[in-house]
Amino acid sequence: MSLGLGSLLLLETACDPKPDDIGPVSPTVGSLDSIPYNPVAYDYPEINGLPAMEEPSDNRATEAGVKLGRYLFYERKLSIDSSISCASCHHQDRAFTDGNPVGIGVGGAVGTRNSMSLINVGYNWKQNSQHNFNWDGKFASLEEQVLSPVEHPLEMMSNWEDVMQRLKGHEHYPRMFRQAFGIEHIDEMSKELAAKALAQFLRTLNSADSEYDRDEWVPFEYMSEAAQRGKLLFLGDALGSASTKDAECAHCHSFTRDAAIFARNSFSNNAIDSVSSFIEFSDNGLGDVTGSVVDNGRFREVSLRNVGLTAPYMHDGRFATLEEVLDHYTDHTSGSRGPNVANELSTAPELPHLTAQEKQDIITFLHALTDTSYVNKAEWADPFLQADPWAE
Amino acid sequence: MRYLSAFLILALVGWAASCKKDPVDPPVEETKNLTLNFKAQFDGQALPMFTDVSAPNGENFQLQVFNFFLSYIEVQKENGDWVLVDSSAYVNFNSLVDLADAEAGVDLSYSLAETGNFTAIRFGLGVSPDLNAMDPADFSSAVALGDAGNYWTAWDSYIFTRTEGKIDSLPTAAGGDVNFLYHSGVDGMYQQKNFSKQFNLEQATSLNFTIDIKEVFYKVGQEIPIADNNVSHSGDPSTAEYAIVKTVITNMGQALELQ
Repeated sequence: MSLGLGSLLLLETACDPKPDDIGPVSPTVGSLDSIPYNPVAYDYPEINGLPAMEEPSDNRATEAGVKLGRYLFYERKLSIDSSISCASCHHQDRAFTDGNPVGIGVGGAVGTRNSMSLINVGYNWKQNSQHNFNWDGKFASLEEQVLSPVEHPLEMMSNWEDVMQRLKGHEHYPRMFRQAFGIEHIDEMSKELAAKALAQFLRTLNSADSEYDRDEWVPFEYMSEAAQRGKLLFLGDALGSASTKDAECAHCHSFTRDAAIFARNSFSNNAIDSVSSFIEFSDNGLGDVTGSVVDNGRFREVSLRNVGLTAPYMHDGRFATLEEVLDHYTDHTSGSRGPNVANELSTAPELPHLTAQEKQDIITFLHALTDTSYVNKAEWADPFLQADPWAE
Repeated sequence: MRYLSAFLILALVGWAASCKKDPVDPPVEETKNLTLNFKAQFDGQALPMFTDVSAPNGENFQLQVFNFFLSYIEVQKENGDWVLVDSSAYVNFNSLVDLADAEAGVDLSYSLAETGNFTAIRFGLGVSPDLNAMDPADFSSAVALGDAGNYWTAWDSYIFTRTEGKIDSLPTAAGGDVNFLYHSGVDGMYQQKNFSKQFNLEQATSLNFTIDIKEVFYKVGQEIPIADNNVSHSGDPSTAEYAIVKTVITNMGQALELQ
């Protein structure tokens, strides 16, 4: 009888790929199947002004996946000397930027690009585009993007093999990977699953509760008059009034009432470098990714939500203030600045003639896009600051 | 013991057999039997983006951005019935900067269940009023209508066509380059196009369209005055801005030919 049951057990487990794929496994050491796996789909909150969040078909968010992603986001073991985590360059109180011109890696290594805001970052994903993430569009998906900083020589300087060994040897992460992805053995923990969890967490960082949003959605709540004037200038020849002055901002930082991202998910040369040919840019940006010279000098047009919190500005953090940004756009965006300057800028007839007051009104409107509702949001905060981080 | 041995052998055979991997079927590619190919040309020659060509008035002309929406692409069967191919498509030439790419053009490929003989194709140039009444938030990011960058909130409209580039000064004029940008939108600019063509979809078929940019900007009697009015985002129908891009999209419709 016992032999019969044993044979049946043998049959039952014969198709499990683990032993073939990873060698002999002790029936107890490394096995995770005693831990319950009860995935619960993550329920994205509906937020006025933001469309439904899209996610890849092979990485639907679950409560446990998002939780694991949050822990990994704040986990310093992802860096070579356990000194920094993703959150080191993405602070919750700065719309997940860091206030530095460019990112600072392990040992103070100075990066080359400004740390981008992660608020609403999931909306950067266009399903049929290969260039959705990072300033240069290097990554198609968040799942690809989050793998990069761990091994970047100016960021975490580690490698995923070592990181996964650390996580596999951790007291709690094997359980969390099991709860997130249903793996049955510790050796199934992989960088790909870590990336999926991180991506799931990042896709939850959605918020739209600024003065602009309340003006749009809450009865009898309005932006200041200066912000209203700034919005008209930002939007341009709106409301059928041809006489309204047009700062042309909304071409690139586009928005609708229901899709108020303030970015069109595209790349352009906004004339911050004055060059006479395609091969003179100090940083080619998208061009190095696509291999097309006409893409040289093109960088992601970022969302302007929370722009008041994300200084300094541009891909290299060259402008310290919004005032400097506005001065650039009014003074230095003619077509003579380069062969592929965005035509929305080079043809803008009124942009060079904005008055100081009009520029200040635009800046006031930009500050009206600041949302601080999430600054102390516990679900996004560092779990390792909790009294008992690992409590289930 | 004999029974036990037999049972063990049976179990091992079962184990071995159960470990045999099932053959994995290769992913089935849906056969595309209708391709619509679009080529941008200038005076009959392929026109890459960011490439100077000589205009009839002597100035150099360069196209840098060129794209447009099509709505309700339909093909007509022999019995007169129209078959919907796609409710919306986006034809984007922006990445065609090499001559070879420009000569190849942009393909829209479809798998149509309906086969047999067809006699015509029709579509709207731009975004049809019913679709234009919607918003990018109503669509997936997988389609161009879901891209907020293709929508112009100021006019509650999608941008139907984009033509951007530059001209140099006329030989006799002072000054440098003039960049231009014409974005057409709003319902009144939608252009319906019909083309008669005999074709059969029993096998893969390509319908090849060309659009001659010379006929868009330098069409005799309907020239676009780039040097005098180099930018328009459509706007109110009573304005000169509206008139100029209405001419652009009208010329585009007329310059679009099925070979």
